[in-house]
Amino acid sequence: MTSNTAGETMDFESLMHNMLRDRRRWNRVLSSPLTYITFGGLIRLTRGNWPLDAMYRMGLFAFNEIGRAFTGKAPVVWSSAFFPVELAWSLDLCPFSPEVAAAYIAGLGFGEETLTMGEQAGYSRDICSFHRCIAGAAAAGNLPRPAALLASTLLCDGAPLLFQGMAALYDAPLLVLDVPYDSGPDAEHYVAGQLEQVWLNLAELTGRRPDRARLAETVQHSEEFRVQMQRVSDLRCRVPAPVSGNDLLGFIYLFFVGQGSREAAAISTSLAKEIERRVAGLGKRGQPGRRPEKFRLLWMHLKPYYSEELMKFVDQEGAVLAMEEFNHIYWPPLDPQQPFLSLARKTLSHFAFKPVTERIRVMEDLARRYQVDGIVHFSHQGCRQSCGGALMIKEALQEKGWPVLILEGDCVDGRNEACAGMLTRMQAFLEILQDRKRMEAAG
Amino acid sequence: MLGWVCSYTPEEIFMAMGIRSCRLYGGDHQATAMQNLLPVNLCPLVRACLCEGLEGAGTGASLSGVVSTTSCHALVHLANAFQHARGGSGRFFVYLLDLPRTLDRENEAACLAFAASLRDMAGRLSEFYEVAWDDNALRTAIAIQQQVRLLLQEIYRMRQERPEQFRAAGLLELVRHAGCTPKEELAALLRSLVASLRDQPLEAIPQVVYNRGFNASQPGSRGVVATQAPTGAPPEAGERMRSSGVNRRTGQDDEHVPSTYLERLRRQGPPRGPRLLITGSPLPPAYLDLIEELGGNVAGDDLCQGYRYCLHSVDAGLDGDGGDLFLGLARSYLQRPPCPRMLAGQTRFAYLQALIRECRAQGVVYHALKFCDASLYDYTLLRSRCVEAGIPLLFLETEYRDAGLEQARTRIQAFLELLPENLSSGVHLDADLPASTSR
Repeated sequence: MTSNTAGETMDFESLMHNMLRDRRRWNRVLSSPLTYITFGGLIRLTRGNWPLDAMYRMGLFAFNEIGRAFTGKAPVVWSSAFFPVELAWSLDLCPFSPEVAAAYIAGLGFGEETLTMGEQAGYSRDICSFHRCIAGAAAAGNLPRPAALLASTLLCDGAPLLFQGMAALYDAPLLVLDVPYDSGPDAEHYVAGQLEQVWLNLAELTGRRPDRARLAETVQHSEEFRVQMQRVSDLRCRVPAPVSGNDLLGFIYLFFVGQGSREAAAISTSLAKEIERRVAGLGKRGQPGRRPEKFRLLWMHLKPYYSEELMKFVDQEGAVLAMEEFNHIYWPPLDPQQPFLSLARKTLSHFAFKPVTERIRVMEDLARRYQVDGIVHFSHQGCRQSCGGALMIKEALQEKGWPVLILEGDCVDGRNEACAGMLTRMQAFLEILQDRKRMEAAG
Repeated sequence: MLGWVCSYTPEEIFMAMGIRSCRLYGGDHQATAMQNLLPVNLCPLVRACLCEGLEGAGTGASLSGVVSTTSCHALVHLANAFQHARGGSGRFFVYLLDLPRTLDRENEAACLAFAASLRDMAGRLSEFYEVAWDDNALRTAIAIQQQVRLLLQEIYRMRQERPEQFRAAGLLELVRHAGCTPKEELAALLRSLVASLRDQPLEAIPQVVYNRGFNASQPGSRGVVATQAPTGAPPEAGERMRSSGVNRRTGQDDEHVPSTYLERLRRQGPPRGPRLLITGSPLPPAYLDLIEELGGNVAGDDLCQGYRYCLHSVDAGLDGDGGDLFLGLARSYLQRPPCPRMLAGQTRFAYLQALIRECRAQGVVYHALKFCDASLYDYTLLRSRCVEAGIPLLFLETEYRDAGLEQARTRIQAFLELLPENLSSGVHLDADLPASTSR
């Protein structure tokens, strides 16, 4: 996730990989404050090498938070993807996203052995590799011990079930946010009530004082993040693309962990400014279109984190990720004075947790807005939510005139058979786009 | 005919509105032409149900709508696929019932939310089928359904006492049949069946030899069977299985033949063997026949198409909810023993522990459908508890068809062979499962 567009691996990643090569040293290395001092310094030294300064800032933020989690500076709460993590920030806890950790583990090259450990712990190869990886790392005792676990049922069947198992493993309480499919006023009331209860329970469990003013402040930070990321999305409508979508798919830490923190608000502001400068041609990388932009793609779901090979290939072929489903800001403004209701509305407004026609509608809007040539649905093998609708989405979007590729693969597990033919399929798809362009040009 | 899939779907509402309903089981439908709607890495049961609903010559063809639930994303996409394929006409009813995942008895909010969903579903059904809503009709429906469930529980109780006499697949088929049959008719049949089972040991019933294939075991696909006298006389091939109610293939009423039910319930194969509990995902009945053929005694199950379908107590809830029938119904469904999908923590395992003890199970067979997340995660939890408690556990994964029967045969055989050794080494099978701290 810290690779630049050309796919050059950051030195610090190699160093980290070497440090952690011997798994028996993991706990010693990860729980030592010296690790974070040393590597924090190294990250600072590499600032100029990051494709976006905001990525550098996010890397540092994530690294510091991981340090806080592993060195026990604050109670750690595990939060599943899409859980409103603002609740944890408002109590000055240390939120930890095991799903993001799995992506990092894969990125550092430890995916295979960690997945194997997850499978040995009883987790089938048919379930999501993010979760298998977490289970493996947890079984090996390589993850920070949670004071509590926060799981949302939004979009993911597996995460709450995995967290249930992890709660048993760590003998820690599990707090569940049950998200209904319906999004009317009753549903908002139902979710808001649960959020308040979770917040109060979490405060009690971690010995924190529930401070509503602090919660409002957190929701305000989250709103700033939303506004700035919306600004980023607006700027990305430009042709050629002012920023690499592949780089922005590395921002999962901010989306899954950062929202509600002061840092995420600041980083998103800096990202928006940086892209603005690029668009204006003022920044050091302010020359848009460094490489001729042959194809503009809309990218659905995530990407492989265990290897940059696919994304490098896409880049080399002159295709840009003009927009990603993941980076689409879909939720309405948050009102700090109504924190629970606002967060409930945010939770319930996810377009993919509605009839598949809504996801199709949103993708169609994005495809138009970002003037894409084609759409890629990266079908992460274990994701029933995303893959389950892929064929219907493909059919509907193709009828609207966009070529769609369902690219079967895996975000974390490079051993997956589906990964083998990814480059070939992507190449064939880009050739189709090329032919279409030729035909259009020929009238 | 309205199709439904998940056991959290309250049939009582359909009954109250006079809408004929039928649970979809997928039958022998394997995803073929419908592969362009749902991907291969999705629950095979759901994919088969889609095929049954869209391609089926019997029930499928006569469906006027489908109710799915938000139990898992496979079922969510089942509703999407039906809507995609049939919904456009406006003449096909598709409803996705919102089902909470938390079921803590203290969680009143979840009960209220589910009650609101049920009320909404009733309203939509009323509008689509142009049927006026009647609270009294719901009261009657609840009472009849309760009778059906109590009668099925009684049969389960008898099976628990003498599993060596019962054919587990026959009982599973009976419960499956219950999901497709008008309940007044079914209640009468079950009453006579219970009386017969009380009066007459199953050994006295002529033995039925079934085709081993899944087709023969499906309630909707009446396979060719042969009856065999207890003396071991050769089977009389070609006699077609009949049952009461509507044949899901032909839509025609079958003759009411309670003795046939008794025949189907009668166990064949070795009479003695280790007592087993079957849990996990819905299991094709052919696998139960296989377990028995190999010497296992299925003493109980925890399947949503089996025992869990029968476990409700609605009346108490209705009295306590100020006459709010939907709330009473919601409470009863949410508070019954949880399925693997529910985030029930210790509740599910306490229930399984009690069931293991009640059934005096000497081993547990965990069946997971391929790509069924709920079961695959549930299994890991159960596995660690069983290991700690010394309860032998077999993991069996299928694609909801009998193609893997021979592969399963070896695994089941090996498992059954190991059981006596475990027992003789002093394993306490009624040991408490370790407690979970999940909330």
